[in-house]
Amino acid sequence: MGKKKQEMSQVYNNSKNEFIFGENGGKGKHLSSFLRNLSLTGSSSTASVNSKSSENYQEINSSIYGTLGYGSSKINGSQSNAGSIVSTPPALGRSPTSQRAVSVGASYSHVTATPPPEASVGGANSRTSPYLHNHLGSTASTTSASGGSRPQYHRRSHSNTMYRDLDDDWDAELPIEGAASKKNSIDNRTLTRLTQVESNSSSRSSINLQPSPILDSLYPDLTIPAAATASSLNLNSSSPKYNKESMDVEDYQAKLEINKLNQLNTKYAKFKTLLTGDSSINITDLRKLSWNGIPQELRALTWQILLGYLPTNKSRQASTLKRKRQEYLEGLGVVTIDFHESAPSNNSSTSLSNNSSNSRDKQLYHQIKIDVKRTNPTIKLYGYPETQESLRKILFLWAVRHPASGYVQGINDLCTPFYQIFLNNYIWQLQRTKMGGGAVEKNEDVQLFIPGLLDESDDKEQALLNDPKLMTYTLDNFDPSLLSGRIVAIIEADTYWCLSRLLENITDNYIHEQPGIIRQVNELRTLISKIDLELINHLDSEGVEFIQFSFRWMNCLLMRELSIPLVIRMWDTYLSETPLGFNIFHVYVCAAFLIKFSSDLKEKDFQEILLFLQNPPTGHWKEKDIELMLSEAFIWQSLYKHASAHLR
Amino acid sequence: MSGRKKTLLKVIILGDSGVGKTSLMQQFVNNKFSHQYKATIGADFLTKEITIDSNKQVTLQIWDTAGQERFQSLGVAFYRGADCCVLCYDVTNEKSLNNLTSWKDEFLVQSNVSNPQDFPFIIIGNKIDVDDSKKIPSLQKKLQNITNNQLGGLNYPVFETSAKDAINVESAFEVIAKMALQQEELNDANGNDVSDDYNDAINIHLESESSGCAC
Repeated sequence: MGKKKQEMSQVYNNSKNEFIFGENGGKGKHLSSFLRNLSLTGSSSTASVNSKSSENYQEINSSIYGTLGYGSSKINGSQSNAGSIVSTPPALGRSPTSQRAVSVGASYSHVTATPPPEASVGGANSRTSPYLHNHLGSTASTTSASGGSRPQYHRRSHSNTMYRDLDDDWDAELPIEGAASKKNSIDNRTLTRLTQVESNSSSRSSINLQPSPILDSLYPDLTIPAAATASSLNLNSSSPKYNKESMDVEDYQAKLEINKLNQLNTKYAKFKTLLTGDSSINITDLRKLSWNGIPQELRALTWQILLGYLPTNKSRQASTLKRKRQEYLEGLGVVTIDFHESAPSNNSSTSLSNNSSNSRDKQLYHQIKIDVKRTNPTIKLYGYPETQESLRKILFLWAVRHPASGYVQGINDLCTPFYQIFLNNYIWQLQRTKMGGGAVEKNEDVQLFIPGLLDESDDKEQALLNDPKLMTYTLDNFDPSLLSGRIVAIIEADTYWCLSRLLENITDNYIHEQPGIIRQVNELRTLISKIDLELINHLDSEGVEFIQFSFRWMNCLLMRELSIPLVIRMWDTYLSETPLGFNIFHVYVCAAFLIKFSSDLKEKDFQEILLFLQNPPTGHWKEKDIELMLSEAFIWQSLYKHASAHLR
Repeated sequence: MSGRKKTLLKVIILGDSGVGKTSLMQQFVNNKFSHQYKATIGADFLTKEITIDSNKQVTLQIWDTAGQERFQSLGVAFYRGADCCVLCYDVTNEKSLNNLTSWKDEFLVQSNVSNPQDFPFIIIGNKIDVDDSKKIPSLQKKLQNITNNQLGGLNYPVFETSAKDAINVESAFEVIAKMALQQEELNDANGNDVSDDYNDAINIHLESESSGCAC
């Protein structure tokens, strides 16, 4: 028990959880949490990588800010231009760049007077580096030059004309991809060009080595790099993109398909290498890779690692999980609520059987019960009594363990991605086990299994393995009553711990008065006022307040606005951010989300706006829409993260 | 002012979680019932145009709020400018009945209405379609008790409804609309109420934030 206590306290102390026991998170706390959050970039990533060397700092920085030579490049102030990129010693480009990083690097190349790593890692986070100032000043002038109307469109056309002449230089820098693109690049948009850079996995060094006037000219454009990033996220090897406009549609689509398949294979292979390679998994590399989306089969494993639930050190994985799962069961053992629900419940809390649980617990359980019943009501999996019982247990235990916030509506939504990803993983493990008759094949897969799930002595598991329908099972048609109690407990425990990890990042979203959400809503407004002044003016003139529509965005992390598969994709990226993206990065995502509808909203009045945002048209959204949004969010974060105080 | 063709009336629905606020609104506005409503977070609204007294066209803007206590501090953003407040309980859940008073108080505190003494409230007991055995025992007596003692003895209209079977929903909202219209006309007559309080609140937040960043 002592050990358990220690473990629990470690979990809770791990983050800025001073709020947990503070009943009233007044403004003072709110403020301090805000400050803490601001400085988290440095401290938490430092801690997680256990930084010993400046190289680590660079690594961290590059994963956060993009990859342009941090560290030894000098601050050039307003003199900065593409030349300053060159000043970065090639030696720094030691690792393959993540795509997003390059795109951002490219889009800000005008201002690459990057601060030395100490500045950004240390306590100076809230200070604006000169480059941001510089940049933003210029942004303002761009905007005003266009008469303040639709700056984005203005930029788009503007940059378009600029790129045309510079085409050859550009291609020259990237011999491999460049050759391909030359054929049909004349009419290509900037977008294509950027895709090119991004898709070149070692482009960091090539950018660093080659002076590129284009990078300079890229600067005024904020929108296009974002679009390009997303398209490259979508298409790792990017050749179809080049041809987008000059090829006929069929050809293009065929290529797209092939490419997608290739990309999936490559992606899976990359993850596999990383996850099975060393005795200890390189978390920084894993983050970089995961930012652009995780293959479905490896998502459960990767999420658990990214959340710090599963140790990166493989020799400790099995034992850690075993202990954690045991702790979860012990936690439930103390709870006196009977989670099993035979009859369809009525609402009165009298249905709680025993009298030892006090009325507060009863009330809490009542709330959880009625909410679990209406969690993802349109998805079959969540209609099963087994699923609902699991969710009730997880939520109840979390709530009693976190009395300062307790259960807040919306947390029920947040635990569902974990639940279904982990359930899905078990199904996948069974399927692979069945398939892997050949020893080699099997062995390879086993390395990618989350430890502790498979157990030959489990009768229900054997029944599943012999189930002729096993290979056809997915989340859409799987009946969780087929699971053994042992597996149910494991999935619940993993969900519980991962949910706990997630919520640690946003504790003050759910405590009294929800100061975290109020802060996020205010930040969103500030951000929009920087990015899209016209929209803010319109919302103001219609009397729309941000809290009226964006409260839910924060409270449920956009889960009410997007379908679960899209949310899950989004979380791949959130989990790859340092600190985790559920708090600060999420606000930038919300900004990108709102701005997606900017032109629609500007046509509407108060009622229409709120009705629209209550039910935004995302039904047809695909992963690429999410990825585009994430890329935009990333760029804005890079731009504004440390600039807020100076720009108010 | 009553000569104006369309009047916008703002109605707030309050009550404990799960009493059926969303269902009531949906039944009234869209004439449908579903088991698939998720828990309301923050607040949603719908509008419906109706005719009162066979000649007056009004637009009801109905705000459906979140029932969980934790969200109560949000009220100030949603209650302002309300013309009528609907207090809901679940006829099978005694606690939701007992909480009516605190919902009313909370509303008056946060909405900052000019006439708290005679602001129009209406009480709706929902889910009368369920089995009698599940209903609150001696409901009428308890309800009487609450309206007399805790709701200040005021004669608030009371409706028992079923959002599921569309019982009494229409007639309840007719009364709501009339009461709201009265309130609106009263407000117009008294000049408009200004709610500077709320704006101040926002500013305070912004300030604390920017000072936070500057250090």
